[in-house]
Amino acid sequence: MTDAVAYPEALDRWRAGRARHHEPLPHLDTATLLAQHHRDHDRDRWPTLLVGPNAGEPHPPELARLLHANSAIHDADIAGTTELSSDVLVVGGGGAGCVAALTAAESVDVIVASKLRLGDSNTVMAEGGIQAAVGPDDSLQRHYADTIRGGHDTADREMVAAMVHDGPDAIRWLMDLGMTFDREEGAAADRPLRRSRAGGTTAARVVSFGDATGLEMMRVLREAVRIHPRIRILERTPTVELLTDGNGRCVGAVLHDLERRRLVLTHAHHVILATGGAGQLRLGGSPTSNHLGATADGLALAYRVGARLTGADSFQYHPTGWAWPARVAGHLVSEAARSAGAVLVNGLGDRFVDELAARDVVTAAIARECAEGRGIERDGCIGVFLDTPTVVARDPKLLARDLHTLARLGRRNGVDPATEPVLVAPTLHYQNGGVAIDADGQTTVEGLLAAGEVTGGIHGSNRLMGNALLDVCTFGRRAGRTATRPAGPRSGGPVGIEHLRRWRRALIGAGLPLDEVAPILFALPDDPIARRAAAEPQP
Amino acid sequence: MAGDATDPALTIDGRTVAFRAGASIIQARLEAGFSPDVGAGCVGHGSCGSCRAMVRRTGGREVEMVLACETDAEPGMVVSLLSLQVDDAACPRNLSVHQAVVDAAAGRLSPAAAAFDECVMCDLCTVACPEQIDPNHLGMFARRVRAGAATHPAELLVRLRDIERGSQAIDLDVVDLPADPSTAP
Repeated sequence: MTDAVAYPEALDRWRAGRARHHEPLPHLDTATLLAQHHRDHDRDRWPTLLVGPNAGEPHPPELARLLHANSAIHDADIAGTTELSSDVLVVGGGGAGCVAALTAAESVDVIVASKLRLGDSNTVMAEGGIQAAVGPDDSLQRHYADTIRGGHDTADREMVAAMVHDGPDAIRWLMDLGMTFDREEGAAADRPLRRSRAGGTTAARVVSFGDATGLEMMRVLREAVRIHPRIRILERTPTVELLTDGNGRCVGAVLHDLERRRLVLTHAHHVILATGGAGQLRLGGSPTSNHLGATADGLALAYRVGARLTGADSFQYHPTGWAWPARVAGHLVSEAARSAGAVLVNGLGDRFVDELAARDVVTAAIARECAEGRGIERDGCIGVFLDTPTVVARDPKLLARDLHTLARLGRRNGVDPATEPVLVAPTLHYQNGGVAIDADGQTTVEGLLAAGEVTGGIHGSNRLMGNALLDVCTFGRRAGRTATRPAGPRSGGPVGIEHLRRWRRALIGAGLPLDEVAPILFALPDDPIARRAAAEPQP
Repeated sequence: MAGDATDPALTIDGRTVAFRAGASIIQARLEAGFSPDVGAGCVGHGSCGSCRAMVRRTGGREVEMVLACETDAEPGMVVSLLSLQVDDAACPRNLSVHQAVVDAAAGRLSPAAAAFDECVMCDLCTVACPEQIDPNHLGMFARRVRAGAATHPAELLVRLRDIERGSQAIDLDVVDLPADPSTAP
């Protein structure tokens, strides 16, 4: 096991070191730090994709396996099955799926097919907030520049500009839908939104609802979708394949109705892919903050139908997941704690990084402390301290007012953040890239749109806090609007899974096995039996 | 365990007990020796509402709310009697569900909305509600009305107007705006 400072000793050093935590930090060479201590920089050890639009590009092995996978569906499976049709099919019932569905349903009929219960998603777990340049000291340009620089200038500039431009209107849309945001104290009815600063940004731009912003957003979206007369909801109905016509245009999907144990062919003029993230792939054995449903289903579906991916090799590790106790390992301590001034302290009682630097920098800095023996060990769990007691002492109402989730997880796990620092370590949090889309949400496959975490290009190689929920709303609305446009002329060719014939030929040609099946839907990738049970259609 | 080995059995409050064919859940429960101090009142008249139970049938996923005295025992059925007051006890977040419903019914939307700040929409209060009020959905309704009717922040409206007028255009080449020291947090 890596060397680390034992918890009791680390506590003593933390107490002794508090007085010097205001001192300036030593200079940090971020390029070297990231190269040595961030998992995204392991590319030379990753497998190269052998088939599909991104062939030749290295991806993490857990993801490459899914992108190289076969479909569980064969022609015989879909002969004579139940069929549904709608103007729009939304695949995924999280934040982006619900936003897209509500937007499209302003003028057309929509089916939302969700693997889990509607709303059970990463969105509901988002704590920090949503960025939008609404402050008088802020501007769209500033939000744009912060996002581009935060992503190490690897994001698609047009896409970032589109997202940033839509920010203030997204906030108004959410308010009109009935979402509550924190406002400044005061009596005036039009008093300002409370804003806080995200790491790596130059203005206070994150608006929120306590540290449960995603919960508030998701329950409002879910309620609105549930009562919408033009939206039909199919829960416990994962999508296991896409449907194409003779020209390769996406014209629907094969759904698996788990309740009735049957496949359902759903025809649609547009399919909006909103399947979310990939944290449950647990790259390199990493803990994850993600919902159990985050299994990269949409990437596998889109890739074999021919959609190009962009930046899908880049992942965000949130710097502050709970490291102890083990049963909550990976769950988040919101960045709001650092925004409020909580510092990070190593086993020697020293600060080691600007806590509000970009997330990948803070993550790599924590990884370096742990790798070089300055981490803190408690019951076999290793991390660094997030100094919550000092900031709570300054602002005694902080936990009750802004950090409910931290307080609740603390209570449940015997940690009082008001009196003892929280042991934290990086946790796999977000897929920075994904299916390439344009500003209308259009993928490289006609008829197939995408929105939310499944997409790529918007965050470059590092996402800022608060830009995920904004991405969900912005591109959810854009894809929803695009899906209401008349579909292009159909080829007239047969609707089915012809693309799989080509895909299987390609797999065989590349010497890849046909018995790896994706999407995996529920199981972890190292559990082949459960994986097949979930993916195969039941008699 | 009551009955002989060939009798059908169900699980009540964690105990597997045998029952006579045709027995109601509450009869099976009483015959198995459970105390009648909770969950048993009129024992079949269907009038007192004391024997609220959550039931999952063999092979099913749905949890149903039933009156145990009106529901036949079935082999393999899993039953939990709700022995507590259902209003707030139904909430795993300990929210003041009952008071919030009273507030909403009296038109006091603001406290009704605030009561659901930490609601996770697990639907347990709706499942448990004997009046079929759907308290959490009522709470969401109160929240959405309150938020939707609130006055928009002035600065948000100013920014939206600026965007509409074109004075917030983004230059794709400007990616380096240093922090304005006067606005540092």
